[in-house]
Amino acid sequence: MATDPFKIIEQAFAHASDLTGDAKIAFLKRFKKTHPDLIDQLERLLDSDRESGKTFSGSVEAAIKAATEDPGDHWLGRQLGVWKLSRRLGSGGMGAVFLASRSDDEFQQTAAVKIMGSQLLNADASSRFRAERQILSNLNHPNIASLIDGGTTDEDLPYLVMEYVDGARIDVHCDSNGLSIRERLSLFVEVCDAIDYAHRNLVVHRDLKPSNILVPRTGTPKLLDFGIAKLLDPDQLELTAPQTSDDARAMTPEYASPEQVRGEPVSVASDVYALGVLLFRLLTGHSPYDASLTTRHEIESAILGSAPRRPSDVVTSASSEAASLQLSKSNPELPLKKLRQRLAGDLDNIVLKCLQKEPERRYATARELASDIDRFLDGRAVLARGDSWAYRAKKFLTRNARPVAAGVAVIATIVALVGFYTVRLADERDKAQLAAAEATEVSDFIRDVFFSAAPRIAQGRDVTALDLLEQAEAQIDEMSEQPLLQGRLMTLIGSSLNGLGEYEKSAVLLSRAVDNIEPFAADNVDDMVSALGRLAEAQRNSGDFEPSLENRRRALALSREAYGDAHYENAAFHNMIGATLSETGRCDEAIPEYQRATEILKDAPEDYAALKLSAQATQAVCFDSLGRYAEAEAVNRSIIPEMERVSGELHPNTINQYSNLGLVLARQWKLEEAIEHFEIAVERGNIVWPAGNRFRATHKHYLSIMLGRAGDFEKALELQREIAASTLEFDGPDSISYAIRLYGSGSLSASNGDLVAAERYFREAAELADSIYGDDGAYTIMSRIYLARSLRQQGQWEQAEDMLGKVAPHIDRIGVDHQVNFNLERASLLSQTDRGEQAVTYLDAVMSLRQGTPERDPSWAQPLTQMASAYRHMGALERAKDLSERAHRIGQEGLPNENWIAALATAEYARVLAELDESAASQPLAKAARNALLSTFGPDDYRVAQLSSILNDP
Amino acid sequence: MKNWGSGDKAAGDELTPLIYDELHKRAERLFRGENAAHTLQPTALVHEAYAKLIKVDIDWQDRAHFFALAARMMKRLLINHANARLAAKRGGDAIKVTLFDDQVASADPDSDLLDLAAALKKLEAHDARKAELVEMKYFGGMTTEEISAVTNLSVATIGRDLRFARAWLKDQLSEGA
Repeated sequence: MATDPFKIIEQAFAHASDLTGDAKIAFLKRFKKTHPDLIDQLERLLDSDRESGKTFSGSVEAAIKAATEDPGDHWLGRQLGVWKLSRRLGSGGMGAVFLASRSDDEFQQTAAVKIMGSQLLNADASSRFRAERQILSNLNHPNIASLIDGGTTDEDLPYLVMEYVDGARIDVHCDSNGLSIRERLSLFVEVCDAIDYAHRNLVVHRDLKPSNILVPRTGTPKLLDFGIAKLLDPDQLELTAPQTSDDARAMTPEYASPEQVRGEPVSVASDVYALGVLLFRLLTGHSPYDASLTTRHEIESAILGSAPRRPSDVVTSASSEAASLQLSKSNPELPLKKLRQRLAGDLDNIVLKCLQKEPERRYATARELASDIDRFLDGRAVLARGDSWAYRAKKFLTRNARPVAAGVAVIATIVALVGFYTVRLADERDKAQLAAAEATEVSDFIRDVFFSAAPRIAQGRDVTALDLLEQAEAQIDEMSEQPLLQGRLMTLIGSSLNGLGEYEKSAVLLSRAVDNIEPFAADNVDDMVSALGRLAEAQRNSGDFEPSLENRRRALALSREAYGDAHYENAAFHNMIGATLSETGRCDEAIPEYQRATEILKDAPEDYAALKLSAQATQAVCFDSLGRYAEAEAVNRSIIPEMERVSGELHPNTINQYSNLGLVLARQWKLEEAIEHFEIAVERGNIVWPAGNRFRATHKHYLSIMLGRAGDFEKALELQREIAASTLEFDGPDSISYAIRLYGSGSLSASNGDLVAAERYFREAAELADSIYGDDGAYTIMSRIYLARSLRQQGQWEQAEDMLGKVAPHIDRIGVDHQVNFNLERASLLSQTDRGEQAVTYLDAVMSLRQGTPERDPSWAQPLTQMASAYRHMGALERAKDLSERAHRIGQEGLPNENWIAALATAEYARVLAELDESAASQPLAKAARNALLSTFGPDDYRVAQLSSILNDP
Repeated sequence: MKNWGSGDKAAGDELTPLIYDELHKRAERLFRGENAAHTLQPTALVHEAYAKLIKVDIDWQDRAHFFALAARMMKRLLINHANARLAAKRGGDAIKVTLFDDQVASADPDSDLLDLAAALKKLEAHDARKAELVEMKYFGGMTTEEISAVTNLSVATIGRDLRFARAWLKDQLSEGA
């Protein structure tokens, strides 16, 4: 038995804490008898054990927090330069802020001085502080607190002197001045303008919240605290804060977007999200998520996983009654029910569009958000309904992944998609224009339909919206005595169905709409044009291209008749006709349509600038696919500055435009310039799109291919690895996109002479593609062809032959360029295994497949080199000389100096000449080629070694 | 560091100041944002410090030893700060101006922490092992399994000891109040 009281208590505690009821009472009674001096303490301990209340974790956490706050206030009265600190205004994320004044001149001036906290004095924090200074000095906007001065204190602490804003937080300002919804919205639009201005100056704020937006008595809101803002300007990247999870912590959880919570790179869309939270708060007095969430973790989980509430639901639900009442109290003219009605519908949609989890489904820019609010304030139709164009484009890509990948060569596919992407914008604009012209009774009707069911769809998304539309459709059927109104409603609902991806249903309803409106068309041209246009769109989406074209032309004809040939709106029709034509492979017919659209819009007002750009961009895509590269290049080049002005430097269209131009340059083998443009697309894409986005990967992929062509294999492979990592994360290891990455790395490794790695990549790619799409999948076939090549180059003839045998039956599934490679590969294998006479058939096939390619086109260099090599192996030296000389000349004239592809052509020519005993001609060529190959591949490359063997003095 | 798990104490001593600095820096960074609503887990701090200091993979037991050491550092760091701040407060010049109304001040984190530390010291006098377990659990944010790896005690024993220690400390703290 222990004698130390501590031990006695411990043992008794261990025993008693497991007992309950009578057993416990009995034990305590006994203990009281044996240890009367300890019974009180034991009972207290058992009580403490039961209460779950306070934990030590809380104390420790509070202490950590306390330990990290700035001690003491020795700053007051200090003089920093001409500024004297008079009062502490507060402590922010980066240090302390003081009120300061200068009195050195005849004039008095007050300012806010922000000093970086000494406890934050590390490289990371200092660079943020400097970044803020850099950012502010570039921003000059009436709604952004401006930078006046800056420097370092005697202790080497950096400080900023900023415009002092003596005002209230924006939410407090709204409530205490009893601003109406309309006034709140106008104020909010000003904030959007400031943010948009920052974005245009390549700055993302990243920490928007009411306490960072102050409204002084003048009523002009001012944005403060760019402390964790991020510079987007590539030239100033070294000043930006590193993108670590610390960034996410540095910001306020409630206003953080899902991507920020996940610690992913932020973009313009993250600020749009925060603006949505702010708007939610200004309109309802609440957070978009359940108000009972308090811990950071709970809030973050809600941001990631829960659907935000509808503003109109929040002001009606009982839990928020108090705050809503306050809001409506401050607006005596606005009782609660009215407030709810004002929020339901458009304002709900606008807020929820900002709060989408996927950045690409939000407003693309703060300006778009502001314009939609302006539209609402003017009583026009807002854009925030249904899915965004980017979202639908993504859906299209996903839906069409297989046929597209299986049918066409990669590059061609992607060009079409970039073109497609651009076209969609015009389409969207087209719709917005038409939507604005809708009769108000129609939209009111829809709103009522939506509104009557609103409580039920609080948690719902697309599916419920579809239900609602169907419900509306049923109601329309009951109004057959008013055919025109019925037709209008059908148009509206039909195009909403189209927006939800229900193309067939949409087309059926829109055809009925056309039939309904037709008898009244003479007096209702707009209705008829709108119904036809939307029907055409639905048909195009369902793949019924011919009827779509016919209806679009009909709409155009009506519009011309009513408004004349040069009516601006006609341009949208020309544009869409062009898009449908080029989608169905009739680019030659599409080009005049685009030209017509451009002509019509030549002197059109600014509103039409985006439409005009779209016409030009798609026209360029057409030139490109017709092989008219010079024209494509000229148009692409000419519209970039205008696009940057109209859509902004970071708009997806602008970024894709850089890529489009890059592609055209690439086709002409202007590698350096192509690389420059792809680099811009990649840099800006990293800013705008979230990780895992397909466009982001696409531009990187192009850049990688171009770097490979230019011989920078290290960078090219690094990029492929980057894309592969994000593919693995977002699509998983069993996806076709991962197979494509393996294929890409394989191609680069093969070009780089790393045959073992190439074999491994292609083998993995082939197996993966086979498991997904089977033997006749495009990537299965392509990977196997190149796997065969890697095997042949390592002398594994039989395996290579097996591989080609597997591919042969499906060869018409792949693009022409790859069919060429298949035939080349067969020919090479046959010629190297002494079956030259069979090889000739395949070499002839190559020539006929490439028939349409101009003789001087640089894309001839590689196939000609390989053909020459095949003829050389079979001893047909004159033919080999002829072909390799051609390859050599194309390399000299069409490819950059010392390019490895040109060097390989020259090397082949030199080898043929050597075998023909034309040593004098061969030696200098071999030397030049060897030098070029050495500089790209290094001395250990097998191609360098092969060449050395024919040199007299290697 | 790699020797440390196998008992080389010198390696641990060398690391001590590094860990202290690193924890300090991490803690500051965590609270750069002014919102008081975050919950701060010491685990997060310690794990980040670990990730920063120990770049190479070491085995699981070694990691637990690191956390144990970090827990002690964390306690020392917090006590130093709390003492310093209390001294400053007695000086009477630190009136905190709150700019934002979402900033909620807690009762008095400094004296809370110092009380806890004092109670822990008392516990140490009675039973050093239990005090150490508390330190690892609350200042190091270690899991019971990790504590088990460092101390070679069974998970059940640790659970029992911690339960008693917790009750005992609470009792001490409520007596002091």
